[in-house]
Amino acid sequence: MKPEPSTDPASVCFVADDEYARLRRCLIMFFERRGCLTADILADDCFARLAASMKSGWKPANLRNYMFGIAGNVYLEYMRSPERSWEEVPANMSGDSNAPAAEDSRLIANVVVGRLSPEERELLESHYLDKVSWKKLAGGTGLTQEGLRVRVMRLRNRLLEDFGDQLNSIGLKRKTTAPSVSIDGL
Amino acid sequence: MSTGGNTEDSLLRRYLLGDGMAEAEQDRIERSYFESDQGFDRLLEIEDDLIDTYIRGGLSPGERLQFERHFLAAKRRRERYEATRAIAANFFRDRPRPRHSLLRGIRAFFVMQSPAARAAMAVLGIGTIVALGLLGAGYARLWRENANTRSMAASSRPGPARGDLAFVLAPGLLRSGTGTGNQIRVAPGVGWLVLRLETAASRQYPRFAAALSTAPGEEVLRQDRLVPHGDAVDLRIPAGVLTAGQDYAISLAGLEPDGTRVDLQSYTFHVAK
Repeated sequence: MKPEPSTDPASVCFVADDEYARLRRCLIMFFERRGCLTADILADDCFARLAASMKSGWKPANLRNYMFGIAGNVYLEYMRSPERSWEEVPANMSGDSNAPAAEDSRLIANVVVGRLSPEERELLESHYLDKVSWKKLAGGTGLTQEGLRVRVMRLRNRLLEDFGDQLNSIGLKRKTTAPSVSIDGL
Repeated sequence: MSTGGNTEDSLLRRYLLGDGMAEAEQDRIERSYFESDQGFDRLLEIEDDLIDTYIRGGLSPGERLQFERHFLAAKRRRERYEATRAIAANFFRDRPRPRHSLLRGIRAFFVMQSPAARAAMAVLGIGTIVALGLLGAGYARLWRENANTRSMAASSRPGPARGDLAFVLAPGLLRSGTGTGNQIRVAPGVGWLVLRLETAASRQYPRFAAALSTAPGEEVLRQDRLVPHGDAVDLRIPAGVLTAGQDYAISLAGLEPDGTRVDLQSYTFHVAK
């Protein structure tokens, strides 16, 4: 059966913003591993079930463990659902790589990469073009190979964060926000 | 990093690629990232590394297949991949370097000196210029010998590496390969493409430059140290930079020994879905 995403904040559990976002990402990862194309909807369904359980005033002793258990149940029900086959096909597989979006991505990427310092740019260029080995690169910067890998990873993450911020600022991407703000007692 | 860490990373990588694993193992991994912030952060790092390695053509054929069939089936991951690919595309093309104002700096330094110091520097400068002239003549002779050696090496170079996909492109037309007409079909699991650009000018220049662009004119990749190989110039590109359904153009230019650029042919092709 197709789970309905919860949109009413009051109907959902009392979980702090950060914890909600983290748990939701864990749940999505859990469903993605199982090939569920509606992973985000199934994650929302887990929270809807948690909220339903908490209506009577009950609270789980360990929220993360509890959500892991709910995820398993939601997945089993999803697999038994006769509507699963047609649910999997449409929205997720289309409409996310059309030409205008790709053009926007290129323009935004140009902007965020343009903010790199010449040294940062050179490091990433060497990384992507395999110009020199990690060993040689590390020797040139005085860092260990592991240190250099971490530096490249941080630079890449920073670029991806900037990229996401730019997308958000021009309204191309919706941000996931927690439905409620209290984690007291959990 | 410890061996234990590498084993765990390898497991997480398999987990993300949808590789089959024992239920108990999968359960342990999932409990770990649900309960531990550190565990989840590590999983996200491995996820980004996978995307990065795919774009750089570093996954094995089997992993590429899993990446394309399982990993990219999730919308969230496709969005992450598209963003990383758009960013990486900036590094697959050369950018003009900022101009250094070295001459202006030297002039300013010279103007600030006393007349005696200026005279001494002028004498020293003339001596340096003469020495550089002699060195330059020697370098030019060595460069010519080196170019001949490289040319010989290029003509005896073996074909594309195993796992690469090679196509021969004539100006405006794809003549061979697995595609039809001017279409290229990149099978899942292919890491690199070698586009052999046929040109009658292959022996006229010691080096060539090639730029790959999308049909709307957005440059994707540029290489300027290509050496000729027989009657063609090989352009090796990671398959990850190409998008299925997109038209591409390659412009080839010959580079004179002094760096002068001479525009040659253009080649077009379509990446089939």
